[in-house]
Amino acid sequence: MDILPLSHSSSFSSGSTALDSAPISTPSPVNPNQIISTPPAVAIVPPFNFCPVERQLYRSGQPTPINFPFLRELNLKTILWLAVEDPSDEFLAFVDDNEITLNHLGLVTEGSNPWDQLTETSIVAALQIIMRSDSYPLLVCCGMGRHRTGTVIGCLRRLQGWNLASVSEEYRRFVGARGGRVLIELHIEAFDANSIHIDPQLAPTWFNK
Amino acid sequence: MNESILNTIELQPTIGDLGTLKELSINDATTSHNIRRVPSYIQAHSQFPPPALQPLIRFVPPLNFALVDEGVYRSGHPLPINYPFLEKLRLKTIIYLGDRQKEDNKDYIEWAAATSTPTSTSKTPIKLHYFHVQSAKEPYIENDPEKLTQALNILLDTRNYPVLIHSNKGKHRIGVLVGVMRKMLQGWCLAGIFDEYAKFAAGKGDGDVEFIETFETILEYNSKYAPAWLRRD
Repeated sequence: MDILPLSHSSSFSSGSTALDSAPISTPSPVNPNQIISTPPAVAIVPPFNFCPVERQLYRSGQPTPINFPFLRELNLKTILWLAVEDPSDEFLAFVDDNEITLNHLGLVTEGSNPWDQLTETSIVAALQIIMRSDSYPLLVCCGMGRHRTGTVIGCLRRLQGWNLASVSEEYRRFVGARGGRVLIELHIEAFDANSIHIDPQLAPTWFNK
Repeated sequence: MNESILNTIELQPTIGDLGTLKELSINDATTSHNIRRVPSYIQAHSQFPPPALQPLIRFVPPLNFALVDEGVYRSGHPLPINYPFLEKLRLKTIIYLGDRQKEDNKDYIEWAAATSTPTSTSKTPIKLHYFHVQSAKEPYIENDPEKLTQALNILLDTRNYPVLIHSNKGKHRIGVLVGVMRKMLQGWCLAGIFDEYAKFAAGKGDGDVEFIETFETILEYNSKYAPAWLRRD
């Protein structure tokens, strides 16, 4: 009797209190625990190439409207957009509706092409924002979440003192069947981690704890 | 003050870090693990150039390492070269889904027992949950729903956090655990779950995704200690 199907609770309730709010005529059960026997009724769809990077720091490809319920769960404060092109109108509307700060960092040099690499200026600008805990929760994304996002995350890992083999392994995990680009790995390898100014007071807690 | 003394002072913390690495590599020689010595360029950097000029390679994460969600990390089996990195995560719990005999990774089990997490009042060693499971191989060996249920129940209690979940390579067994977590606890769509599984599995594992899709279980949790990423409707 203390196992009620979850479907009995209102889909608008917070869920964690589903059993408490369910109509139970007997006194409250001794067991304070809640039961999970089914997945949530409504599934959420992560954006293409989505993955958590560090606490409240995420990476992905460009989100589409089907991903918006998923993104709302993350309570994003900032988005770093690394593509040369503008984000889609739907995505820009979502960003506005949810009062998220979108930094368009892809187009720093005039006349950049989508196939060009991310410039050093863009990488540094992105990492300066990532190194400030007041930007969080934060999503780093570009069109496909492969090379431009991978460049920034790779340079972040260098900043964290990771060995290059592990950085490349992570980069290649997201590049798809056509594989990684040697030039991008070279860029990550040659990245000067000292070009980033880090304020220890502002840095996120996971950084060099 | 002369310059060489200044350099010595600056280098001290770094030498401390690397001291740990070197100690570990010496201990390795007595274990059955693949002996992984600290690469010479790391040792060379401990002397020159000073840290202010070039950041050191200080951390080597385990194979297939990633954050699953807040408080939960995934990876392959850690090796001694990964210990300084793992110590930085201040792990409270490790879940190992593996088929090794305990003699095979005795040094690792000892490391976990000797590594303590400072809590508000005391220091507690890392709690290592060793679930003996074999990698699924169709059609002979199947995933073990019972062990996965136990692992999910541990993940539902943030008093165990931060948690590292790992198998031997961080591909299949851990991919299945992450998959059923995404499905049961976070309600991800199956396409997203399969895509994530494939990113880490690097081919193979058709049976595993089928298992994730059909997996059913009953889990219990206390909402007071539930992780923030848990989704219920």
